[in-house]
Amino acid sequence: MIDETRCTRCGRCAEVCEYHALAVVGLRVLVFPALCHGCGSCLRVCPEGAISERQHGIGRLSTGVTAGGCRLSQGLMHVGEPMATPIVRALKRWPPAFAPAVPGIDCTLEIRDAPPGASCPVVETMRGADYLLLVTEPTPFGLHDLRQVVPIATELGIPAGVVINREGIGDAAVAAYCEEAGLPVLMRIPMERRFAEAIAAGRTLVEAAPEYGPAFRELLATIRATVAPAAPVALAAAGGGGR
Amino acid sequence: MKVAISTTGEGLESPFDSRFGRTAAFCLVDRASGEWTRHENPAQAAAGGAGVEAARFVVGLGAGAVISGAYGPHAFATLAAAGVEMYLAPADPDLTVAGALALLQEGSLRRAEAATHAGHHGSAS
Ligand code: SF4
Ligand code: SF4
Repeated sequence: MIDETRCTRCGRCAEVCEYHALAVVGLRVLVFPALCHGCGSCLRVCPEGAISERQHGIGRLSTGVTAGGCRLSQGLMHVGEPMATPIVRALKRWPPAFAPAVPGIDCTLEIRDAPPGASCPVVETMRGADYLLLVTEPTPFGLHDLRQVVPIATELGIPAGVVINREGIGDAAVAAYCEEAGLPVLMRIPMERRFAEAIAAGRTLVEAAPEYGPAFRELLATIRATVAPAAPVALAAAGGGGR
Repeated sequence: MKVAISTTGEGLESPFDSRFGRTAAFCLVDRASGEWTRHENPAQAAAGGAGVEAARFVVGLGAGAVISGAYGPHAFATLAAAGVEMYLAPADPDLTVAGALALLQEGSLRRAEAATHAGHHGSAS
C-alpha cells in the first residue's frame, strides 16, 4: 500500500520493481498486486517510507483424508491469479509437517505431485525433496519435458529415477535418453485399455491391476535405498507429458 | 500533441504492430508538425508486466495518445491514470504507421474505453 500523503512521486519504487507491479504516472502510484512477487525491493528504496506491505490472498489451501486413508493437502489458486509458486511454497509448510510411516519400509513418506514440464511451480515442488520420480511417456512430448527437468534435478542435487507410463506407444527415444543420462528406469507401465478405463472412472492403477501393488512397494524400497538413510523421504513426482 | 504508434519497423512506412506491451517499437509522431522519432520498446522481452512497462515508457516519451491494437488491464490502468488517450486500429498486415495516423487524423479510430483483453501474465511464473 502506498501512503499518498508521504509519497513524493519520485518514481524509485517503479524503477526498482523487476516485475512492473508499480507505475508512477502523473500524480499517482499504481499498484498491480497480481504482478507483485513480494520481493520487498520497493519498501527498501522508498526514501519516504511511504510503502507498506499488505496481505493479498491468491488462493486457498485445504486438507482432508482420501477414501484409502491417505492424508491429502491441496492448494487452489483463485481464478485470474497468475502465480502458483507462493501457493506451492505455502503448501509445503502446511499442514504442520505430517508424514505417515510406511509399514515394512523404514521411512515416512510425503509425496508431492508436480505439474508436467519445468516451470517455476515444478521447481518449487522439487526443491527440498529427497528423490525425484519422473513419470513420463515414450513420446517426443515426454522426452522434451524430461530433457528440461533432469538438468534442474542435477542442479538441485536431487537423485532421480524414471517411470515410463503408457509403454508401447511412441518410440524408444526416452529409454535411450535415460540410458545416456544415467537415469534408472524404475518401472514400466504398459499402455492397456483396462488401465485407461479405470483411471477414467476415478479408480487407481492398483485397484484395476492388484499385481502392481508389490511392484509399487518394490519401487518405494528402491527409492528408499537410494536416499540418505534415516531421512524422512519427501518424494516429488513430476509428470512429463500426459499421465 | 504527440502520438505513439506501435510498429514492427523503423519509421512511418513500416507495418503497424497491433500488440501494445510486446510491440518492437513505438513511432512517436507530432500531430501538428508531422515530425517523428522511433523508440525501441524496452518491454518487448520483459518477463512479466510488459503492458505496465510499455505504458510507463510511452508516458515518459510525453505521448498524449497511443495507437495500438489491444490494451491489457494493467496497460489500460497505467495509460488512463496518465491521461493518455488510447486508440484502437485493426490488426491489418497492410496497415502502416502513416496509415494508422491518417485514420486517427480523419477521426475514424475508436477509443478504447476499457481493457480489451484479460492480460497474458503467468508465462514465466
Ligand atoms: S519510492 Fe516512495 S516516494 Fe518515491 S514514488 Fe515510490 S512510494 Fe512514492
Ligand atoms: S515487493 Fe518487489 S515485486 Fe512487489 S511491488 Fe515491490 S518491488 Fe515490485
